[in-house]
Amino acid sequence: MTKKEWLIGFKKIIHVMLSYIPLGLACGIALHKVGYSPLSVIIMSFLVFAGAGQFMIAQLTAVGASPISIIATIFFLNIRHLLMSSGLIQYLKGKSSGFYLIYAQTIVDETFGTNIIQFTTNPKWTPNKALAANIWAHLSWIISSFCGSLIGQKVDVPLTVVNYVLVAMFIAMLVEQLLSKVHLIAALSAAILAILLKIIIRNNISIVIAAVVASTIGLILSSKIGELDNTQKNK
Amino acid sequence: MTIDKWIIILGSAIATFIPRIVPMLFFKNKEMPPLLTKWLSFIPVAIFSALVFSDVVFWKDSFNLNPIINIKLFPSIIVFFAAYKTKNIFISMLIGILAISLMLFAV
Repeated sequence: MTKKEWLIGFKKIIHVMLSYIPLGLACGIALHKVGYSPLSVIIMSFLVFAGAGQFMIAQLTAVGASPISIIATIFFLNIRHLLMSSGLIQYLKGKSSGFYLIYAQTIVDETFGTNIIQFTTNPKWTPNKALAANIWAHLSWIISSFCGSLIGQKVDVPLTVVNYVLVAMFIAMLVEQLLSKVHLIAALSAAILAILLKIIIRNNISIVIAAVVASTIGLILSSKIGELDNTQKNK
Repeated sequence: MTIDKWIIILGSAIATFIPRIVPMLFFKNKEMPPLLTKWLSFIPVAIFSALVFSDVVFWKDSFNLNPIINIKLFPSIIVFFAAYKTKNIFISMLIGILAISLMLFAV
């Protein structure tokens, strides 16, 4: 990868890197509080790289959950990456296995959102720039969470604000992706389903179910509209 | 640090890597069926919408539409319009963080 690719990747992911500073600090603090050493936090942030997942590890370790139940929870919490990885591969054809290994490890909500927006709206966006952006984000997460684990409990940041950083980012990413009426309907369906499912089943798997069902609604609607276009053309 | 914690770290590493890598390795040399590609084109909006709404309309894990208690509601509406107007994720985030800080301070 060239220097220019690293630089362009950096410019497009800077908002994610900055958002990871408060979030990573808070996560490192939370993990340190329940007994994870700074070294283990670095290793965890490198190998696991999942914001919400790592907060969940801290929370579940604190209540004394068994390793197997924690690992299972993390698996279900992050199973949405399956959908993201599938959605990204069409833009990443013809790369080496090493590329896919590193790219896969750096798929998170924030890098996925950033790259999907770039791939769909910026014709100059390439797999290498996307990978560079991902690695920058990963680096920011590792350093921030490590710093958090070093600081320990000394800083007092309102958690409501810290948690809202990503929510604000996700809202902005959502708005940028509302490319058509069908996308808007899919988004609204996902919203309603996610709320109902969260109330009913009280588990984070609700996000995946909502996304799968809402995308199917989008697909059915778009093919219906496609049929409509065709019949109009035939007339 | 106990051995349990290392097991948690390594186990979570494997558990998070599998969903990330499997689709890539499966589809890297294969053409995806057009219907699947079309379906996947709705996944980003659907996921982000699900992520956003399963957060902002809940306060302390219960559904709550009272903007005085659930202080995420007003800032979220502001971020939505900021993103729509500016088309800039970073500026929209800053506006949102400022808004929630003000709400936290005011309520």
